[in-house]
Formats: sequence, C-alpha cells, structure tokens
Amino acid sequence: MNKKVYMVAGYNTVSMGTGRSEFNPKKPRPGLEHYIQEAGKATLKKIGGAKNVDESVIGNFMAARFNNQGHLAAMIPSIDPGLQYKPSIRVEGACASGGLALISGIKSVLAGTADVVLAVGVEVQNTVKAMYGADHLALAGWQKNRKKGHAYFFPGEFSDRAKAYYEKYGEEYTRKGLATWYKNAIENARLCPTAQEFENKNTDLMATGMTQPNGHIFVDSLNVFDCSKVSDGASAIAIVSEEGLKRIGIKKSEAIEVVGFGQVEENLLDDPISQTELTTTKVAVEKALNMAGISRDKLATVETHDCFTIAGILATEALGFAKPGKGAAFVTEGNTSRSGIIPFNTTGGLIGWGHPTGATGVHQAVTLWEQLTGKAGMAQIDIPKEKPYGLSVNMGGNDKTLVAVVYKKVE
Amino acid sequence: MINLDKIQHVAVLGAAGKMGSGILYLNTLYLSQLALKPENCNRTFTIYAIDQSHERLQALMLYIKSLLQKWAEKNIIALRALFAERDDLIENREVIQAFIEAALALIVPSTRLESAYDATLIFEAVIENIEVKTALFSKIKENNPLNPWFLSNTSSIPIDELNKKARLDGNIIGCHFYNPPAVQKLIEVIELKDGNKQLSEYVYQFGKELGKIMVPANDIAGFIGNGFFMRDLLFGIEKLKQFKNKFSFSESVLLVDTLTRDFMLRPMGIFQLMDYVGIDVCSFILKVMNNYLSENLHSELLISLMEKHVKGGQNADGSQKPGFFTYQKGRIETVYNFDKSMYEPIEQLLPKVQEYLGGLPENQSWRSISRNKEKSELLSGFFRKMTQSNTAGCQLGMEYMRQMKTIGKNLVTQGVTNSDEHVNTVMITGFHHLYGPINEYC
Repeated sequence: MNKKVYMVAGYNTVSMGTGRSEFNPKKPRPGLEHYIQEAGKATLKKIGGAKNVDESVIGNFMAARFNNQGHLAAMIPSIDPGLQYKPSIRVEGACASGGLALISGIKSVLAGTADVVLAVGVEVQNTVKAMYGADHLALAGWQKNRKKGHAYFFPGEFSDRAKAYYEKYGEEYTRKGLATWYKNAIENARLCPTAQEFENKNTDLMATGMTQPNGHIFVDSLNVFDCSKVSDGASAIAIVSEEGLKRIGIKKSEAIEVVGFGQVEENLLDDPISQTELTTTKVAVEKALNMAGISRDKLATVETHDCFTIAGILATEALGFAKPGKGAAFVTEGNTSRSGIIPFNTTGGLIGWGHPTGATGVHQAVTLWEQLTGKAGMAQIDIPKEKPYGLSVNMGGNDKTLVAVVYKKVE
Repeated sequence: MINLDKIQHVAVLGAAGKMGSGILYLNTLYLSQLALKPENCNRTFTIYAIDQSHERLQALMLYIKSLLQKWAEKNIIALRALFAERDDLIENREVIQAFIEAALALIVPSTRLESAYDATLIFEAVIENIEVKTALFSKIKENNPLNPWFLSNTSSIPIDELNKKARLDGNIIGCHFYNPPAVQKLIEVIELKDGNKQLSEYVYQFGKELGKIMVPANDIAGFIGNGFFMRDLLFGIEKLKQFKNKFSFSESVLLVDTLTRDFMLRPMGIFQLMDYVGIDVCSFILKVMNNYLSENLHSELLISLMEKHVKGGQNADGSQKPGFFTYQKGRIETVYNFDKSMYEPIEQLLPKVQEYLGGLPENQSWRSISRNKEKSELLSGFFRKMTQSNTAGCQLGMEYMRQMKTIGKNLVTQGVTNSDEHVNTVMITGFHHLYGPINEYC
C-alpha cells in the first residue's frame, strides 16, 4: 500500500432480536435511523466530532425491503449536523455490504481524497416475520433461482452445502463439527454484552447443536441453531490516514493498521463451483494475506462470516487452517475455540453475536480493533507478540461477494 | 375414497359464531387444499357461510383471512410445493397471498338459509336447542335436491333425536369440535348405530387431514366431554354446601376453585371454567341432558345466577365477562357474593381460604408441569405426597380425585364410551388436563 491506513474508534450497538430479554416483537422498536445515529454518534464522540470527518460511507443490504427506505447516504447527516453537505455514499453487496463500506473508506484514504472516513454498517430486519425476511434476503441470490429455491432460501442453499459435506465426509462427523461451532459461538457471545446470545443460559449447548434437522419444518440438513440470528443493529468505525490520526488526536497504539485486503466477486448467475468449498473466500483471503505479506500462522484471531455453522467449517478450510474435509475435525478438536490454536469469532460471530446483515462487515472490524488494542473486556483473548495480526472475512450471498481484511496491532 | 361430488359444496350454519367461525375456517383449509390438487382443477368447491347478519359475516371474513394467513405462514414449505407449477408465484409473500385469495374465494357469505339448499354437506353450529336445530335441518332436507349429509356440532343432544325429528334417514353425524376449533385438537365423533358409513369415513378423513384427534363417543346425551364436565361442575357446586357454616358464599367459591386448580393441577378451577364456557351455556346443557337421562342433572344455583344476570362467557375480543369472578388480564380480581349481589376483592378472601387449605404437597402448578418433559414422574410424586398429607387441601383434593375417577368410570359403565382411554383423551386434549380422570394416582 502506498500509505498507511488505520482503523480506530469502533462501536457496536446491541444486536437486537430473539434472545435479548429486552426484545419484544409485539412492541414498537427503534428504526433504522436510531441504529445509524447511535453507532455514528459514538464513533464521532471518540474522534473529536463531525468536524474531523472528511467523508462517510454507509453499508446496508436491504433497507428498501425491510424498512421501506432507500437513499441511506442522505441519512448520514442525521447523525450530526456537522456531516451536512459533506460527501457520503451508500454501498451494497448483500451481507458483505459492511465489508464494502470498509473497502470504500480504505480506498478514499489511499486515494488521498480523505484523511478521516466515518464507516457505518446497518440493518434492521425484525420488521417482518422470518418467512418474509427470507424473501428479502433471497435477493442476494440470482433471482432466477428463487422459484426452485427453498422457502427459506439461504438456509436452503447452505443446507445443500452441508448435505454435500455429509455425503463426502460423513454425517455424524460433520454434525459434531457444526455443533461444536455452535457451542463455541454461544460461549463467546456470553462474554460480550452487546451480543444477541449474551444472555443464553443453555447448559448443554452440544446437545442443542446436535439437534437432528427436520426438512418438514425447516431445511433438510441444518437445524435452526446452525443459522445466524435475525438481527437489528449497527456498527461504526473511523478509517484514517496518519494525518487523520493526528487530526483526531488519537495515539497510534489505540488504532489498528490495515495491512492488506482482498475484495472479489464471483459471477452471481453461476451455481457454486463446489458445494464443499468456499472458492471465492479462498481467493479473497489469499489476496489479503499476500498484500499483507504474511502467512496465516501470524494471525492471532479471525472473524469469519459464519452465517451458518457449515460456512464456519468451510472457512477453516478456505483459509487453509484445515485440509478439505478436515475442517469439521479441526473445529471439533477445539482449534477454533477461544483457547485454541486460532480463536475464531471471539464475541460469537454471526451465530452468537448476531447478523444485522449490512452491519456485519463493520462489526467484524470493530471486534478485531477491540481485540488487537486490548479493549475486548470479558471477551479479550491473548494476542501473542509474534502473532500481531487479525483477519476478517465478510461474505455476501452464497460465496459471491467477498471482503477479506488483514489488520495489524500497532506497537 | 370419498366421492368428491358429495363434499364439494359445504354449508356452515351459524358460521359467524364462536364455534361456527372455526368450523368454517377448517372447512376452508380442507377444501382449498383439495381444490389446489391438479386432478381437481375442473371442480368448483363452495363453502356457504350462513349467519343472521351481514355485519357479523363481514367481521367473520376478516377473521378467516387472519387465520388463513397464520396457517399459510406456518406451512410455507408445503405451500411452495403445492404452488410449484405456478411460475408467476416466486416469493413466499406471493405464494401466501395467492393461497389466501384462492381460499377466501371459496367462501360465499350469506344471510339466507336457502343457500344451504345448494350444499352437499351441512355443518351445523347454531344454538344448542333441539327445536332450532331440527327446524333448520328439516327445511334444508325438504328443499335441497342433493340429499345432503348433516354434521352437528351439538355437545349434548343425542344425534338420533335430531335424525328422527328432522327425518334425515341416518344422514347425520355428531362432529363435536372444542373451542376454539381452529386450535383445539379434539373432535368427538358420534355415529348413529345404522348411520351413513360414507359420512363417518368422510369425518375421519377430514379430521385426519387437519391434524385433529378424533375420539368416538356413543350417542348418549352429553357424550364424553360434557358428560364429564357437567358432573364435574355439579360436584363442585355441591361441595359449596360443605363449607356453608364456616365460609361465606364467595369464600367457598374461591376455595373450591383454588382446590380444583392448584391441588388438582388443572389450567383453571371449576368455577373459572364455568365462567369461561358461560354459566348460561352450562345451565342450558344441563337442561338438555336432564331431558334424556334418568339421573338428576340440575343446578338451582346456576339458574339463580342467571336470574341475577350473572352469566359469564366472553366478549367479542375474547375477554371474560363477569361470572363467579371478574378478571383483570385473565387473572381473578373479584369474587361474586351471592347474598349481596356484588363482587368482593379476592385479596380480602384469599388469606382465610389459603389458611384452611394449607400448602400444596409440592411447589408445582399446571403450567410448570405442562412444560416439563418428565410430566408423569412429576404427577406421580405430587399426588403421592398429597395422599400422605393431612392438610384439608390435600384431603379434599384426593376426595375430588376419587370422585372424578368415579365420574369417568361411570361414563364407561353407562355406555357413553367403550374405553377408559377415550375418557382420558377427551379430558387431556379437550380440557387441557395434565392427566386423565381414570388414573392410578388415587
């Protein structure tokens, strides 16, 4: 990279939805603007206010359907009058919209058009029942496949991946891996007060994760615990240059450095090249690691896009931590737990923390910023000196839009 | 196989009522799915929703629409398969909408009985009055050229009485739904001895398709459900006398209600249940049963309460009207004082009642046990401790349990049903009891 890019001053709202005791689907709830403003204001407060911001970017997937609201870039000034008449753009790449917001901010800093970018990601999904939400989310797939797809379209797509993995490597073996992924996710979420599963009190997570899927009420090869949550939430972070850091008056050690990224697209009209491989994820991660000039053994932690447990297992393989077919074992053996070789999703990921779709990419950056700067509270993991890196992997659709970012702890 | 010609035009009499609306909904669900089958694409299915006022029929249509929507949302996976050939329906929302529209299109709301003259199947859910029912049946029988089959939702009148009085030639069956029919799983089926076998076959198939639990009962007034419930409530009323000297009327009512709810682990006490069903309805059913049975089934108390306009039952929004009790958000708030014709706050009465009854054998409730997987172990433990306790509540509870067993057993000896199991199934599914009255706990 031609100049240094940092991220700092992250903030996550609560991931609101079933599981949170304050969530009541029958009562009116905060809307899109509330989440945008809560996250935006929190980040602005940490960076000395809106006057320091050159431009903003907002990632969101489907507010037009979930909230009957388009034109989200123009909602940015509602965060603070100081953002009025400043540049702002909205980006969309399905569930990788948040990741695209990061990329957009990084590119603005690299291009020199901005020294301080406010990046926000948001989604408010609990406005409709699950079967209608499935319609909205299905727009992340090729529209001509919708008719033959499952009522719960994306659970159906990933159920097909799980089925293929079962058939290739064994059902019981796979199920154990999926259940362990679920268990880790919930245990990590219990350490993060903003997580949707923070209050989960289940005493036998493994048994819950082992629940036999039932195609009559859901999909054939995944149970409901294999799925990420339906969430309302927003995240925000500042993307800044060295000059930007000076302007906002924050020490480098309070920030993380972006040292590599990969953002790639696969043809939306094509079926997956392989049901048991996240091909696009693999490409994006390789690009990011190459740009960072590091190998994966330098990573202290990974935030991966576990929209479904099977996506978590497949990610361990796409990232090269496990060989094809060995991802389930890698997870079952505890390697991805918070005390394992490579802790994944230390605040619960999409399954445990929540998945406000358009916010997820930004949430991942905030989590890594917290972990690499020692701000993760109860969820803090040890960041070894020889492994000062973190990786985020944000996926849109069924492995179609990918954003991988490598971050480095700043000494 | 049921001949579809015989079931494709349905009429529901009393369609806007509490029971009729549910029966209409179930018929709509059943026929709409039949209508969607490719082999039936050339058939026209019709459901005449017959009731007295246009206003109620309009409200009914909105109610049916909301029920269909809930059903469609819950069954979206099956619905997508049903609509697989419809290339224009892509999203769940479109499939659900199309299903609702097609189902509602089957319903023809009408305030005229004449509509039933075009029906092949007549579901009846009008007032529990033999004269009214037979008058309607006779009229339809005389004017309908299709020789229709009749299904009565009566909960107490012997089917053969309706058959003979309306001259239906055996083309009638008892099909007793429980309230609310859309949700309640139980249907009591009362076949005539020499009734129409095809009609029976149809009823069982209809119930099966809708996921109902069908329990056969013999044609004796009150059948199993009311046969049990009426004797249960008469015993509760009789019990009040026992406390006459020690307690006021309102205290005794609260005492027996608390006993039957908390000590017998039922969802509601016997007096609350009477309020729920309606004191007038209970009184009416007793009167009907009394006509046909040699046993004296009669309550002066219920008649006196009705004279004082204390009737219970529910408002249109589902909230409870004043009866033995008044309610706030479903909880008992005041208790009726018969002598003073006024209600007294429950807090003033409860301490004395609780002190007399003493504590429960174990800290359990209908709610806590119904949610527990180890239901039968918990029930055994609860009632075992109850037999060992000397408190007034436990002893009265056991006496009540024994009486319930006797009532249940008598239904079998009197030939209302041939099996203990059927009695228990009706009480468990129809009345949400955690256990059947014929049990090993007492």
